[in-house]
Amino acid sequence: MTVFLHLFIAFVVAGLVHIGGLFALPRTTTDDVFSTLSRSVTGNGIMLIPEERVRQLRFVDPNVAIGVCRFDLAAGPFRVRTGLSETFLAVVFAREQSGIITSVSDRAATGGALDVVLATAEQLRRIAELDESGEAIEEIRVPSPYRTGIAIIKVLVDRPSGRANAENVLRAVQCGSEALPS
Amino acid sequence: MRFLSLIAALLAGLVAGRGLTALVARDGVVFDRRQLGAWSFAPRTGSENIDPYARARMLVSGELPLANGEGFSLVASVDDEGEKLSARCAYRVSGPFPAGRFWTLTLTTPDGQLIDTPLSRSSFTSAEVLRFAGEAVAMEVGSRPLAGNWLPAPANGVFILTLRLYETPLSATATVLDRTKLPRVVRLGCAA
Repeated sequence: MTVFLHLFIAFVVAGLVHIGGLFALPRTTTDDVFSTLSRSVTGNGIMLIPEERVRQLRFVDPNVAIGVCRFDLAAGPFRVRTGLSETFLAVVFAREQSGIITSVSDRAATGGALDVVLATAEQLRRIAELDESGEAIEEIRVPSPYRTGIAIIKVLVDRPSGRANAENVLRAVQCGSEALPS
Repeated sequence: MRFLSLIAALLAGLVAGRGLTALVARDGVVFDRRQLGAWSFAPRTGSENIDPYARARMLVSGELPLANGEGFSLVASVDDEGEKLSARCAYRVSGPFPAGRFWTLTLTTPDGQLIDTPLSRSSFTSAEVLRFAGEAVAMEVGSRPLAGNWLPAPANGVFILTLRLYETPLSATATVLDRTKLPRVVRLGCAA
């Protein structure tokens, strides 16, 4: 009887430790790709990740050019504005030690540019109040449940000769916080 | 005595729990991946709704997954007959390819690292692959040069192929995916 009780205790403890470890893992890991990309950003604005560095990332498509911006919504809504590529372009919002929050592809672009605003629910409400009635809204507004994270801008390189163009598109990306008028 | 065996049970549970977490974070679990022929895929990896097991595996592996808004990726670590993809063998990956704006096919080690291969080629894109009139798109994978679209494999060991579909109508959960709509991975032959 005691043996079964101890076995039962061992199973329960194993289960609890497993579940606890699984949920604690995001807080203890630092080698995830989102943390790695975030660490590579120095200063404001977009940081182009060199091709050799992209090729060192694991499970990454070598046929993409990648640029990264860091955001902190405490300073206001975060805007990413980019021109378009002849191939495929996407803006992916992600969080270090966590994963992807949301993404927008160039299909949502209007007027030859993709203009994405990431904001908290509160900031989105304020932006809506400031909208002038009857005026067309051309930016894509995306809610974020998180205050900080990174924007990964990816441009597909469909053939080797297209890398320079893809990287030029990334160099021209504008990203940063915009304070809301009070 | 009874106290000691209780301590032993607690320690065994602790070690087993930690070991299980490390194992599933490294290898994933069966229920977060689906298999269709040679191809396996993990729905929801590219969204915030990722399950804790898939999230643990993604964070530990260092993977940069495709976001749902970008597309969808499938991984083949075995051929159509279920045998591991080996550098000893040659394979043909041939259409149909699911509809999408672009696709890319990339060869890596099982832990996702690109391999230095002849011609510095580790992938094909839908824009650069050679197409032959009247034939389905096909790529030949092997460590020795092959006619057609040759994707060089490493000299030895095993490898995986990742098919990324950009802006595909496939839904995030890929409920419409069926095996006949995916490329086949056929073993052409193996070195003795």
